[in-house]
Amino acid sequence: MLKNYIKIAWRSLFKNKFHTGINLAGLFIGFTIGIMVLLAVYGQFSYDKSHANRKKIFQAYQVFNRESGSQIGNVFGYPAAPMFKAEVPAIDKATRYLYGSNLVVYKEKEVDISTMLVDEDFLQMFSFPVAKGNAANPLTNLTDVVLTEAAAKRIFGNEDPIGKTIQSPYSGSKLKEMTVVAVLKNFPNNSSLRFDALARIENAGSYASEKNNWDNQHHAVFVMLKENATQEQAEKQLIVCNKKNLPGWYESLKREGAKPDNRGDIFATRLLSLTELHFSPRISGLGNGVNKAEIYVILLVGLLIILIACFNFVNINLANAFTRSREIGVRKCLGAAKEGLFAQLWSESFLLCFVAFVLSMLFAKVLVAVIQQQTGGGMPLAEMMLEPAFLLLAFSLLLFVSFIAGGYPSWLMSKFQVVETLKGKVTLKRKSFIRSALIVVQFVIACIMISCTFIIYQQFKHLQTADLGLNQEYLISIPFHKPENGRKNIEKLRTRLASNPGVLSVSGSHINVGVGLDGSSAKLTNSFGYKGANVTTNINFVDADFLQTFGIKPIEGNDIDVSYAADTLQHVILTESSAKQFNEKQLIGQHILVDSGAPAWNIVAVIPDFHMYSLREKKEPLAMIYTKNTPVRYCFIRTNAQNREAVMDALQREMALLEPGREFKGSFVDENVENWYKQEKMMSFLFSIAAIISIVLSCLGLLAMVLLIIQQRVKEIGVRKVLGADVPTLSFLISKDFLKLVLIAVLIATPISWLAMSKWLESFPYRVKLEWWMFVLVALTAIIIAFVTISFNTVRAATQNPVKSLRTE
Amino acid sequence: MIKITNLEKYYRTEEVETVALNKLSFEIKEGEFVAIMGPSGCGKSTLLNIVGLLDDADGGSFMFNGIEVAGFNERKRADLRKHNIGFVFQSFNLIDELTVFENVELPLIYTGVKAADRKTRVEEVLDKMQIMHRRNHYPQQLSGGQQQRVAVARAVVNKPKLILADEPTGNLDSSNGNEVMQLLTDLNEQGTTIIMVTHSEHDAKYSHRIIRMLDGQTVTENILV
Ligand SMILES: Nc1ncnc2c1ncn2[C@@H]1O[C@H](COP(=O)(O)OP(=O)(O)O)[C@@H](O)[C@H]1O
Ligand SMILES: [Mg+2]
Repeated sequence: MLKNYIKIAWRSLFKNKFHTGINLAGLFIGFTIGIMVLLAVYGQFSYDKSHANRKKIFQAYQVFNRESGSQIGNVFGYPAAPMFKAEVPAIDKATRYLYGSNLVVYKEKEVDISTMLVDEDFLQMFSFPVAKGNAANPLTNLTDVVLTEAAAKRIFGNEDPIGKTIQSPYSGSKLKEMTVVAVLKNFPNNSSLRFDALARIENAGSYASEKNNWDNQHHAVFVMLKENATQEQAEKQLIVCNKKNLPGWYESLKREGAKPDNRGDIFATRLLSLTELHFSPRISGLGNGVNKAEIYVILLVGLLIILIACFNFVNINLANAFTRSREIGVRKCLGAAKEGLFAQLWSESFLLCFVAFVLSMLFAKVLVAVIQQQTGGGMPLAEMMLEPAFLLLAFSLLLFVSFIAGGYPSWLMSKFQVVETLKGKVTLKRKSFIRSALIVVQFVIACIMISCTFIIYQQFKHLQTADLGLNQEYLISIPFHKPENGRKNIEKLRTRLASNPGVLSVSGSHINVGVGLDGSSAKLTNSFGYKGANVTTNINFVDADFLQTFGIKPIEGNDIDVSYAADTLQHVILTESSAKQFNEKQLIGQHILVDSGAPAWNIVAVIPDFHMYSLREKKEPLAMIYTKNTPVRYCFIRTNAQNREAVMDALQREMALLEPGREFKGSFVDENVENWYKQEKMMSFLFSIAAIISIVLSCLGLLAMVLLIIQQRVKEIGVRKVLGADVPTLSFLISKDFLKLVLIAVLIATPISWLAMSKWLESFPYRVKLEWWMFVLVALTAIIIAFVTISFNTVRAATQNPVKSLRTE
Repeated sequence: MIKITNLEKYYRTEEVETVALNKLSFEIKEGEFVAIMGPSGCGKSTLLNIVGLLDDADGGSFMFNGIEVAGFNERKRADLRKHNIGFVFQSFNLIDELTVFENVELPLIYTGVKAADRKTRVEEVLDKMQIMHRRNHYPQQLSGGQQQRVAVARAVVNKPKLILADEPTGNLDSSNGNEVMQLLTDLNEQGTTIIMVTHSEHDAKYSHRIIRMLDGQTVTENILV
């Protein structure tokens, strides 16, 4: 029976080559998109799966319910994690997680190795299996360092790394001698925590002086709960712990007018499960996370494209069904049961789906290989594709599509009445509700995709070209490999480039503007009491000539002068919103004691608020501090249009002298600012692909439909022509039914896109305004594309010699 | 074998209601060869479709082999049909995508005959119909007479007790028509009951009895033998 089905299926597929071709092409595109989307989503859900304790591990974060709104902090001061472990009964283990350095020195050789500083518990909590060395308890000694296999290979080549001594500067410390005690197995990229090496956090440069300071917050904290403890218990106990240890924080928040949230807290430390970590980038602050909403959007887009492909298939098969009605009647007459016929017809669809699916899988395999080559590793997608769970998922996609696409037409056909079919009475209706509805839905989807593409791109442009409050044009940013030498090196560059006419000024900053070649960013906040007021501000450490280099005009006061280096004071530039918090009429020249252990702040200038961070965030209060011994990680150089490239070349030569043997990573700030919006750029790119595919698939379906209808109406067209109808009238006659559908689709799609896009834009504090003309433009695009597709064929039909068409009957 | 009493069938389209069969009654015994004649539109095909269990009557009784089948659902009708009845149509109704062999094999597949048995039975019938040499051809590659022989072969391959033929010679020239009529006569002589709709008095002479219809009713019956 099955053999018979397949045999017939092959033959009828071959007989209708044109329709089979369109169907196959549509399904192939649909499946390829579907498989790639599934793979991408599958990859996202594979994050952090390998940790045996993943259900018990949480990242801690703080919620401040300020008057101005709720604020989430994912960084803590040094005392927090040990305190949680000691005082919160539900917490079993805890570790701090602080960026240490990017440099390992081994026998004069300098290697780019990123070290994270953690506590002893780290390897007991997370499952990073030890490949070699001390597996029981590495990191017991302060001088212990643990490397990944790849890092060990890069440092030592084929030497045995265990017991070797290496040197690293950790968070502003001088080079420290460390001993390699263990090597960890390499872990794939689908890990939220990424590092090349681990060392104890006590090695951080500031540890000794800051270890009891809650206010300076700079690292993430992970905790592991006891066997039977729940997240709820732990969070309650954390509040008790906070109230006991941080009464000052509560007080200042209350003074400030903080409002309790729906759980009744004005301040709380809460927990984010490791299983949710990858999907909560805002809370975790770990750069590689994605929002679930984004995953759902991708899934939805994939699903919609697959639906469009399915609908083409349904429509073509429905139209074709009528040419097969006689065969079905005969079979029924000879004793075929309805179910058997359904099985036969469906197996035909399945066969086609299966062929398309296999081709798509192979093509996806190639795509994955190309992507991996392009991105240099990344996620282990090729391996994931072969995992049984993924294959099962992909196979369900095949079943889903073959049921949606093949199911309805097969069901409809198997229901044909024998007597009618034998009389040849079953024919393709010119207007069928289902067929029209499917075409409308396809074009609705296509229009939505086009609108989304257009508006996301507008928003990207808006973000990219918005005024940051600083002048990012002709500004160069260079990261230092050794931030502790930053100030010295800036000084050297300043003197050496003084005679270069292209260099207008040189300054430095601890935090980069935009995303440079090193990809790093940081946020430091400080909050303190001042004359009864609470001051909370982001902090950046900068170098002299900051305002001049960044092109910012002060409201009052002056730029930081090179000569201030001689002082012991901290010279500070405040933005307007941070200055306001001090409640002082005259701030310039005031000496403000922020921290009894540190020199006072000498306010040298107040400037308008500007965007230190991307436009995805609101401008926040900011203080730029200049002292001669804080590290700076970036040098900034202002140049001009004529000398842009020449200065970059000069800088590369200079840096080669200052940091010999290190890769030069200078970049232009305007380009780095664009990189902030990579995500939006990527999104508008992805949507443009989705939009193109949807419109192409929809038009493909439309094309097949128009051809079928024309085929049915050849005689009518011939007769009308003989009676004197001209070509435009005739092509309009055929086109108008289809154009009506596209018009309806546009009318449905516009409000949906409007709503979806306003919702999306809501998450941006700075956004484009949706204008009616944007939607009119999209609608016109869709209509014109459809019109061209339709009239191409109708005109051809209308210009045909009527004698020919009349004779064929 | 077949006893029909007061059989009724209506067709309802938007406004008009056509009475296709109007309280029609007759009886056919096993082994008979009956011709049904009458003007176009008098309800012959409708009658044949009901007798062939392809369609359901709207009233009256239809006894098939002593069982009342009026009111049977589609599945029951299909079951009875595929084991007992073979069809021959005016327009042959062969499936274009299948070869001669596969077309004839089809009823055997639907009645669940094993593949090995199918082969011998199909070859046997094709031999008898003298189209064995065309077994791997497709219907369009055959002449009308050959196609109708294949259709007859398909109708008899399951050894049905009853063969229904709706104007089997309507699309054939007279020599091919006679050949097909001879085939039917042979089958009847071997014991198969045959009911045939025809417009041709010549063809009707092959039968034992002619039922003449007008406006959905039988008017006369001529016994020929
Ligand atoms: N599906 C149908 N819908 C409406 N009327 C029908 C249908 N089939 C047959 N008829 C009508 O029923 C009558 C009998 O038709 P039919 O049995 O095909 O006649 P015959 O085969 O004798 O030429 C005719 O008047 C025909 O118009
Ligand atoms: Mg008829």
